[in-house]
Amino acid sequence: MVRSPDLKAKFNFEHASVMLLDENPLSLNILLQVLAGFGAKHFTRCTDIAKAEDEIAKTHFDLIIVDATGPSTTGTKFVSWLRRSGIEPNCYAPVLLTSGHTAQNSVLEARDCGAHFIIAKPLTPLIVLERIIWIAKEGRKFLESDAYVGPDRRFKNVGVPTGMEGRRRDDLSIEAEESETPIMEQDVIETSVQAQKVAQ
Amino acid sequence: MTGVVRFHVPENRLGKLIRSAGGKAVEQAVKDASVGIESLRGDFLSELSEILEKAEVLSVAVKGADDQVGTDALYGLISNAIGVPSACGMTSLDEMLISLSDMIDHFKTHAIWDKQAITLHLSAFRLLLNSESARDSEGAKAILVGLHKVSARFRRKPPAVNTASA
Repeated sequence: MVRSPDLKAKFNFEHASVMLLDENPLSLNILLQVLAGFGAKHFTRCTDIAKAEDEIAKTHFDLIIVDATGPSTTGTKFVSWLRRSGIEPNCYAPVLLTSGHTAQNSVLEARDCGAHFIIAKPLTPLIVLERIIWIAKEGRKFLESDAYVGPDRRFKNVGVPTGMEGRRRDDLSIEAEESETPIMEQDVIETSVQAQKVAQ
Repeated sequence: MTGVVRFHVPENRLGKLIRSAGGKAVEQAVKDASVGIESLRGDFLSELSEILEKAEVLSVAVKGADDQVGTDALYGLISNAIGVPSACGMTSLDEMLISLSDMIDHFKTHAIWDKQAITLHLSAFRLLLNSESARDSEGAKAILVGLHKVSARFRRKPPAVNTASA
């Protein structure tokens, strides 16, 4: 899914406006150093949800990185609020959720809050960069419904989750329907997929 | 919005920005970021010592399995520190913090509390933080194996009780 970027490839992060929300000043500093190393110059640092919500109303952000570690669930609450805030374009901004540890009772909340990616700590510069480049390249569809607002979580196109019925019009049933045309014989299939030697 | 599901593709501003002329190569960016993290190393070591001291005080103060405020405070302190040791090159200390966070979360979820298991983890914290020799791979590995055994003890299912009556 996420491929390591070409080490020689160039990217420009100088004009990106980045917001960081982390209750822990230590990990906020680590992230700041990582992004500054990438060339980012415009940061807004927040250590509480009130300041973060205030900044969302004032500045346009190109990337938002939010920490969701610990029992307070500040990070996931903020992302849920952001997605439903209607404050454009920030409500559609790419969001990376970082987490040192996700409590058992918060796993679903983290999955459903509307972030693009969850990165487990300890963070390494290469992993953070891979995720940022991947988000920037993909331009994922956005979904708005009563239960969920955020980037489409079915971006790998692997179909309906096992054991569930599809909720979307274009979801296909796992059961194959009766064929309307003659089915290919097995020996025809085998011949057509047989490995062939290629003349050098 | 009842029952309505709307799909749309928002403008990808980040994509446009990072493709613009200028910037730096991935290799250089990763190198610069690592140098930046390295510059914080001294501050982190003293911060980690403070976290350890606070954790020891908090663990003593926890009254038991039903002390949600106490267990939340300890869980918050320990889980928030994850990632900091690796920034100082102490990956084994990060593993210990993850193991301890897992265990406290398990205690909170299943309403259990074992002071001895917590104390053992915090002793390992002190050892991994203060002893250079314990940071080498073999010494640290042995400590982590021991800690995993301690936390695994709580996850093991209790033996089945024979309920058949005569």
